[in-house]
Amino acid sequence: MSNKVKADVDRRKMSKLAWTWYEMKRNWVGYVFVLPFLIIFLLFSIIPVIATLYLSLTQYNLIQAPKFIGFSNYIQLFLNDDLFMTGLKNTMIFAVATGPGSFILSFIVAWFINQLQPKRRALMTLIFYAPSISGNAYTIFAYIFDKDSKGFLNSWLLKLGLIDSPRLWFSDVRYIMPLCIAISLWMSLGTAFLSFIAGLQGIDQAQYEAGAVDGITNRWQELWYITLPNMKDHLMFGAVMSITGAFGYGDVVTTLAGNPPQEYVGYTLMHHFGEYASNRWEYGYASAIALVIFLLCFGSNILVNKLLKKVGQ
Amino acid sequence: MQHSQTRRLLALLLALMTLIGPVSVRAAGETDGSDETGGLVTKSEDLIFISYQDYLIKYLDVPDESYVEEALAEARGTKTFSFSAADSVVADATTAKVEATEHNGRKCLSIGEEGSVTWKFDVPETGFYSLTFDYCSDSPRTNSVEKIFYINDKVPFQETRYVALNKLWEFNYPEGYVPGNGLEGREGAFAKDAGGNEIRPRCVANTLTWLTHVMHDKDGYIQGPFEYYLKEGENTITLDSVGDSCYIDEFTFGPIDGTIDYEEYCSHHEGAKEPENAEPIYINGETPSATSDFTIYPVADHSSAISEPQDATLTVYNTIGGDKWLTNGQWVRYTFNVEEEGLYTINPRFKQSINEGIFASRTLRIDGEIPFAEAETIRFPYDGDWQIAPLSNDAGEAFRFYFEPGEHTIELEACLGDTGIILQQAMYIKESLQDDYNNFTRLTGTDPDPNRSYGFMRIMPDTVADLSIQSQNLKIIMSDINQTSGIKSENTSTLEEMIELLRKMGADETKIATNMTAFQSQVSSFGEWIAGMAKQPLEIDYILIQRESDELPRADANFFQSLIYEIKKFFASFFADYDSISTDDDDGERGYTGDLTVWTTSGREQAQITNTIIKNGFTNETGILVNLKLVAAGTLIPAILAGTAPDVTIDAMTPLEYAIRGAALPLNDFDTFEEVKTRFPESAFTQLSLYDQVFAIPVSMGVPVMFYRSDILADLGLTVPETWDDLMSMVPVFEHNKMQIGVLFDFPTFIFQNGARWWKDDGMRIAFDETATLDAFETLCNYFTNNSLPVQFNGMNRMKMGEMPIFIGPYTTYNTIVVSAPEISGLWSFAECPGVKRIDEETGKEYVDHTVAATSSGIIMPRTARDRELAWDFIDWYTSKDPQVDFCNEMVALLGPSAKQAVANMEAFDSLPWTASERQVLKNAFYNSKEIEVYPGDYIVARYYSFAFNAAYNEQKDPSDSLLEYVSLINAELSRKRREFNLMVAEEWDAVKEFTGLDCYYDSTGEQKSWLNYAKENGIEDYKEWMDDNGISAENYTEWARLFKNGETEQSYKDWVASN
Repeated sequence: MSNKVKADVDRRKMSKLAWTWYEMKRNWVGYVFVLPFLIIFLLFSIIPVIATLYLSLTQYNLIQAPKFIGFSNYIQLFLNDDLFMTGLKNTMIFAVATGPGSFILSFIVAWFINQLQPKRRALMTLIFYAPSISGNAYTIFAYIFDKDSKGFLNSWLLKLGLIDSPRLWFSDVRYIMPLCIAISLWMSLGTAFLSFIAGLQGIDQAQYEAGAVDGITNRWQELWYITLPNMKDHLMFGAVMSITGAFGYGDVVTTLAGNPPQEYVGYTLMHHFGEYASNRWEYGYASAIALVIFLLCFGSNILVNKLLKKVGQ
Repeated sequence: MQHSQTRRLLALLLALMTLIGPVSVRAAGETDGSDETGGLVTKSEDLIFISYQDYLIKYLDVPDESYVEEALAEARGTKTFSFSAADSVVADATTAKVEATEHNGRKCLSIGEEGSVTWKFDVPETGFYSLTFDYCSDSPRTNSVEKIFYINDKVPFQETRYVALNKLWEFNYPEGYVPGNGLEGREGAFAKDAGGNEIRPRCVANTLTWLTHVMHDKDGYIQGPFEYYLKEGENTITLDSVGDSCYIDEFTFGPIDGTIDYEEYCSHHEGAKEPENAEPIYINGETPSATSDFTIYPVADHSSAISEPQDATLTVYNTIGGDKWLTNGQWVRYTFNVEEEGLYTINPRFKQSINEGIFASRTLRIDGEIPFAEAETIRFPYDGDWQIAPLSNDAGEAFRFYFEPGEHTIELEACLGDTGIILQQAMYIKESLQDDYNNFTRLTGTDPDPNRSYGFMRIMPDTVADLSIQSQNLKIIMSDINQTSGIKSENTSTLEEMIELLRKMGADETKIATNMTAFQSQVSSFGEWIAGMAKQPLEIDYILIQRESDELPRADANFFQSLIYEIKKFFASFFADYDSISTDDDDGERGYTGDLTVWTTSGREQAQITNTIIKNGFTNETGILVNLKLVAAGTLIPAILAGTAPDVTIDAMTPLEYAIRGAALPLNDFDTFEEVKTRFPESAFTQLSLYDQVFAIPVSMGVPVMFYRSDILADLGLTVPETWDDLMSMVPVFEHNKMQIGVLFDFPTFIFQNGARWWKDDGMRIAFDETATLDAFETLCNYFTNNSLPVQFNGMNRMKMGEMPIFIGPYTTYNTIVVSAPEISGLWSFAECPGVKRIDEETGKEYVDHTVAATSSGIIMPRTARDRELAWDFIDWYTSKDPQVDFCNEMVALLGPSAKQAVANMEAFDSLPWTASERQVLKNAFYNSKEIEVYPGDYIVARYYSFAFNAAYNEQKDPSDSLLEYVSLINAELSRKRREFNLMVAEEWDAVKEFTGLDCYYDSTGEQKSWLNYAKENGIEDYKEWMDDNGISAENYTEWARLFKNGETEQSYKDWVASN
């Protein structure tokens, strides 16, 4: 590492670009190793994003060639689309409720579990992680909240005399949002949670002892000054996962409340995107929506990054 | 009207049947013979169905069943007498279409598919006789010939009421193939597709061969032929047709001749020796010469490495039967040649792995006769693996059969064997318990309050007592089963639970209410248990006919054979081509005159069926090669964009979505279009056309019908409702009996029935703001809010439980009920949806308008079609009768009765296995149906009216108000979407209409002045340009309308535009 720069080139005489090129040539083996992934990443992530960018400026129905229309899609989207605003509002609600919500929940549960003995810890980890491994586990709620009077919850409530006619749970504007948020929280102990547990276990116990010597008096101080700063990377990872998850939220609503849900309650940007892409065959417009979602995710990740820098200060 | 009367009568009969069930069992189980249904029975003597056992006891005049056999032997008539079906018809008692004719060399009577035929004949001597007659089916349809049987205008006993006459089914093997012995005798039996996979031959009904029917129990509970008591002198028999038409030549009454037993059979052939030739006769299971059912067909078995023949990669048909050959009476026949006279054993290689722990039974016939009594029920034990063993008696001693040189047939027929009698008893118990349950729920509802004292002992002591009685009966049945039929105890756990529950409920009346749900589900699973026990699945690979002393081959592969086979299978899975369906490419040598690419998105097996049908039909007739490809749904859009789309797509989901984007071609200009159009109900085209252009030819079409439980309606004294008012007036009665009705939230149907409309201005605006439409919506919403009908329900399940005697659903629900609820078969039926009363304007007569909203989907020609005429020829052929019928029948054969297709072609529909009355109901529904037009942007409509309904239901909003809220939203979306396709929008149309004085935007009747015609006549290509040229715009129209309304100007819009 130390004597990387050979004598025959003088960095000070080169432009930055030329220097990079020189370095690349010198380390070509590394680039060859990265190449397979790079190609795939380019083909399936970068190029589609660029294509989306272009398509969002066109009118396109997948059958006829795209027609360039400038920023009309965006103008329509921001100024003349009430549903987009509903979707944006709901997405933000879901993002705030389930993004930080699930993030904090994941952390707290991970922290609690971490206090247990290893065997119990493994068992509890499995129990909490299970809902998110099993993919569409939330479909179970479709049965629990079945509209039929024979649905689980309805039949119990009817039996107990708490209601006198079956409730149409996921078709009733009063219940859709709270139910969906609750379910998404239940589902959210996923990857972030696992990485938190890993992070907690990676902390050197000696630090706590040192902390005690240095005058830490309670668990909260321990958490704030030792545990969290040690876990910054894990927190970052968890936050990114939670937030992208929150913005892409929609499957749960679609499965349980249908698409679109009753009176667009719980209608998110993902639904809006799907609506234009598959129902209305307006891919240009759908691309514009996709791009907005992308930017939202991107922006909030930057924000989170900034916030996390403050941890432990 | 006559239909509904017969239906009512039928319902009553069936209701009585369930009442009579318990009588017979109780008579058997109780000595004092007092029973609560006695009063009812005497009241309607004409309608009594007694069981066969009671019938024999009654007419033999013996105290109980233990005397029957002895008495019957003496009371049998001694003479055999017969009469010709053609000559003895009583004309004035016959309603069916009959005709004396000759068929395949026999003088006979042809009987139509509806109505009854009565014959008169003389009995020489009072006594018991069996009845035999020969029949021949006269149509290739897949439904069996079914009759209801009467002697002297009465159904003699319950078991003989329904007579099902099987047709003879043969495989349509490739030309020149005759089933032969040995593996080489199988060469050429199966055609192959492109990948070398074998293609199943189709089943064809043989309408030439005469078949003999001996009257017997079609369910197989009772063994042997029925014997009927006939008095000396003139008697009549009547056959009432419910199934297909047929020919009958002669009826023969006579005493039954007892079959000899095996010992006697052996003594007949005492001198016979084993043949000298050791070479066994090898019969391929997969190539029978005939079967009784078109659902029995060759199966490709991949479970054993040594099933013959076997291939790790390809589909090779090597066995027959399995789960398709299990109903009583289904048989398979093989023909083989014996060269040397002698005694042989018959050794099938078989598998019976479906009914766990239970054996399957078969009746063996050699050359059409049961050789000896023991061959009537031969057992095939359960095993997960393949087995090979000689046909033998229960003790495991192999039977030796004597064959003379020459051609012989063997026939294996599924039968219930020794379990039959037991199952029949179980059936009676089940009916009795079902009755008890119904009695209880009439008092308590389906969801009784466990804390309430209902006083069952006081109100229905007999019903409570019956629980204990049936519990005892069940115990007897259970021990019978364990002893006589060797069924292991794990199969009787259902019975044990049931016995315990009944004992508990019978002993303590307070336990009745608490266990009602358990009771109900137990009765239901008991029913399933009976149905399960009655199944006799068997799969046969081959049959060896050889000397007893010769060794049999291994039954299943050894470890290494299996290992190699599995490894081969694994590696082959990487290379097998699973997508190509068609057989061959156009290599120029076969003389194809053209080729077409056709896509389908169905399952692989459906695609194979389609391919076979295309090969045998279209390619055969026209010499055009059709390349059928199986593609994933959703592939069509990108393919059209890329220009790689096919010439025809068979099952496109939303044809108009393609059409408005120019991806589907209009079809109405093709030469035979008008002829093709007549094949379908006119309404089937509504959703497939836009502004007079048809973009798809219908393939399937669905209509809702009303399903009902005839027994429950009869019980409650209700008739099948004709109108919605009738239906709603029943709600209180049902509610009183703790039942519900299920109605779909089918707004379109209500629109049609209320004479309202859906669209305004030809799809530019929604008509939800019109009074008639709002009325329809309000009526429909009120059914759910005021009459508290359930919004969501599983109709089939609830009907099965008896909680929902009436529900409305798509007619294909029929399939689901047939398959999933066999225990209520015969107790339900369906009718047209309720309608509204109307007065015919011309005749002034009142009639019921049964219009329903249908949906249809079809076959389209994408714009990429290369040879459009050819593609049209294919569409023309594909939607015609024969291919559609073939497809439907093959689907049923492959997937069972649940695969009945919702075919749109009405001629094809006629040939499907519906009974005459069912067909009538459905055809009425089809022809009374209308469809809501599909216009650009229509996806938004269903969403908003369901929002409106949910708001009315959840938040008690006024239905009309909540629907009105959405009108402007819908209209805005319609306009937005129309702009995308450069179609005139509502606001512009207002101006154009005023300017030109036209009546409508487009006109299908040709009687009005429409814009589309106007544009054509005046050569207007871009309406926007034209509007600009003439100074017309939505904005200045609004301005003019404002001025005009204020009375400031009298100027017409046209002049006003000109002056500005």
